Amino acid sequence: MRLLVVEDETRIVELLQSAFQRAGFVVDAVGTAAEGGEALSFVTYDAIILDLGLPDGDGLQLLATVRRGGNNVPILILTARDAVEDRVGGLDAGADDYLVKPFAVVELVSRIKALLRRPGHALGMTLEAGNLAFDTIGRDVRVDTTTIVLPRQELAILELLMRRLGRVVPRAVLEQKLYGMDDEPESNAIPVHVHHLRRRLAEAGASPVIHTVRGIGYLLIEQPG
Amino acid sequence: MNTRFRSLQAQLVLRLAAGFVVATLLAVSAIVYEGSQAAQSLGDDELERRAVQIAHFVERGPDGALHLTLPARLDQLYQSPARTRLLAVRSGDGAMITASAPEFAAEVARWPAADGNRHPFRLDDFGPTSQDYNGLTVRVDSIAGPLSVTVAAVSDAEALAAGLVKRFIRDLIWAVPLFAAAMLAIAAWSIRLSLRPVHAASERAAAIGPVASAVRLPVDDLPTELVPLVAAVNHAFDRMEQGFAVQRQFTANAAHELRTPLSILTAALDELDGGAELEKLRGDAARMNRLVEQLLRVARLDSVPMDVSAEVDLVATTAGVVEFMTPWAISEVCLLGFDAPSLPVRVLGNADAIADAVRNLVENAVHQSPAGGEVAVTVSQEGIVTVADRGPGVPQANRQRIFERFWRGRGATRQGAGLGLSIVAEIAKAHGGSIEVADRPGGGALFALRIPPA
Repeated sequence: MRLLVVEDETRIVELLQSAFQRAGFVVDAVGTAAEGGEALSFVTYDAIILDLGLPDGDGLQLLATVRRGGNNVPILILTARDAVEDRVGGLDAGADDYLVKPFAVVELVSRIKALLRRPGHALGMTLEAGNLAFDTIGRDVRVDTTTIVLPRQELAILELLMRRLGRVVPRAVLEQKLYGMDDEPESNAIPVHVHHLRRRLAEAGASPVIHTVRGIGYLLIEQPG
Repeated sequence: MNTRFRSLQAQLVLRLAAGFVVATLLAVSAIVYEGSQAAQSLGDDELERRAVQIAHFVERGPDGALHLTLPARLDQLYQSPARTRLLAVRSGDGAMITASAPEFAAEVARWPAADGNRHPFRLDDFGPTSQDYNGLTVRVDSIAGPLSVTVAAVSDAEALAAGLVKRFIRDLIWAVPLFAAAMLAIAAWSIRLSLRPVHAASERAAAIGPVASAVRLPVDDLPTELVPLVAAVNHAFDRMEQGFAVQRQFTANAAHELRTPLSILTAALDELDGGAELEKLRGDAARMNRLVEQLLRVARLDSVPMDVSAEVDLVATTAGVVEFMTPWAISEVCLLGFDAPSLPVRVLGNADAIADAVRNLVENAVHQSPAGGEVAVTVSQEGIVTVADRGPGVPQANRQRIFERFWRGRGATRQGAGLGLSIVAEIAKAHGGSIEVADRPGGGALFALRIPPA
C-alpha cells in the first residue's frame, strides 16, 4: 500500500511516516500542494492524507484538481480548522473523510484502513477486527483459525458492523440491508438477530464485542471496556 | 418627546393636525368677526343713506327757520305708530329742528351734534313700544346748511343685510374644517409616500447580521436629508464587518497555532512504548487538548455572534452526537441510550452549536456516571433535549453556578477546566433557549436544554 502525505509540518510528517510504515504502508511525503500535484502525476497512490493549511495554498484546491482529473483515490483531510464550512467544503469537494487536529495516530491509521476497506479496494475483500476475520467474497467468518457458520441475516449484520468498526451503525441502515431477507419480517427482527450473533461470537471466543446504543443502533468494538 | 409617537410619520401627522385645527379655528373666527363687521357696516351705510335722503327735505322757511317737509311716503315710514323708524334733525350747532317722537327728541338732544364722523349707537328697550334700535348720527351738508341727522331703525327691521351676511357665514363655514381635513389627508398621504424609501432601508437593515454582514443599505432611493445618516451607518457596518473578519481570522489562526504542536505532542506520545508514567503523560496531553478546544469555542462564542437562523432537526442532530460519542463512552465504561419522537423536531438555530452543547452535556454526564451506568439522552416534541446520568447529582445550592465559566465543584475528581457547562449555557442563550439541571427520578442529575421551536 502506497500512501501520499501532503503536510508541511515536518514533525507531523515524521510521526505519520513511522506509524504508517509500522502498519505496513509505504509513505511518500511532500510539503506543498504543488509538489503533491506533481507526485500524483507520476505515482498511483492507494490513499492520500491531505493537510488543508499548506504554504502555497489551500489543500482544497489540490483536492478539487485531483477529483476533476477523474482520480478516485481515497482522500482523508487533516485540518486544524473545525469551522463547519471547512468540513462541509472538504466533503463537498470530494474528500472521503476528515480528521481534526489534534488527532490520535491510531485513529488516523484505522480511518485510512477503513477507507481502503471500502468496496472496490483490494483490502476490502477481508474485513478484520481483533481475532475476527470476514471474507467478503467467500462469505465466511473465522475466529482465529476456526470458521464459524452464521445465517445470512447475521452475516449481513456482521459485515455492516465490521465495515464500520468502532462506529455506530444506525438500526435503520441494518433494517434496509435485511429488508426482504426475512420470510416473515417482525418489528423486533434486528434485536433478535443481533442477540443470536452476539451469542455465537462469544461462544466462538471472538474478541470484538457488539454494543447496543439504545434508540440509535449497534456498534462493534475491538476490545471490550 | 412622547415615547408613544416615536414614528416620524405619526409625529408629522399629529403636528400638522394640531396646526390645522388651530388654523381652522382662527380662520372661522376671522370670517365670523369680519362677517359681522361687514354686516354692521352695511347697516350703517343704509342708515347714512337714509340720513342723507332726509337732509334733502330740510328747507329754510321764509322766517329763516329750518323745516323738514317729508313727502307723504317717507313721512308715513317715520311717523308710523309702530315706531319702526325714528328720526331727529338738528342744525349744525345742535339746535333741534324736528324729531319723529318726543322721547327720541329728548334722547338725541342730550348728545353732541355730529362732527363729520359717523356716530353709531344702540338703544335697547326704548320708548313706549320697548323696542331695540340701531341708529346713527351723521353730519350732512345740505342746501340749507350743515345738519346733524340722527336716524334709527328697529333692529329686526334693519337686520336684512346682516342676516344675509350671517346666512352666508352659516352656509359656508362648514367648508373650512372640511377643507382642513382634506389638506391633512393629502399631507398624511404624501408623508407616507415620502417615507417609503426609509421603510425599505429599515427592512434592509434588519437583514444585516453577523452572517449577512456584507449587506448595505441602499442610498439611491432615499431623500437627500437621510443620505448622510445612511452613509454613516453603512460605514459603521463596514467597520463592524472588518471587526468580525479580524476576529474570525484570529480564532482560526489561534486554533491552527495551538493544535499543530498539540498534534505533534499527542502523536509523539502515541509512538512511545509502555510505562505508567507515559500513560499519565498521555492523559495530560488529552486534558490539554480538551482545554484548548474549549477555550477556542469560548473565544468564538465571545467574538463572533452566532448565526442561529437555520432550520435544525433536533432529533437528527442529537442522534448524531450520541452516535459519534458512543465509542468514547464505551471506552469510559458507560453506555448511551436515546429516545426521541419518530418525526423530526424542527428548531431555529445553529446545528453545529447545538451538537456542541449536547456533546458537552453527554461528556459531563459520562464523567459523572458510575461504571457501567447508562446515560439517557431524550428529545421531546417541544424542543427539549435532556441528558440524564446516575451520578451524584447537583446540590440545590450549585444549580446556577455550575453554568459559570471555570466553576468547579468542591472535591471535583475529574480534570475538567469547568468550561463545558458554561459553553452549553452560552449556546442556549444565543438560541433564546435555556439550560436547567434537576434531580433525575431514582438518583442522578437531569440536564434539560430547551431550544425554541421553529
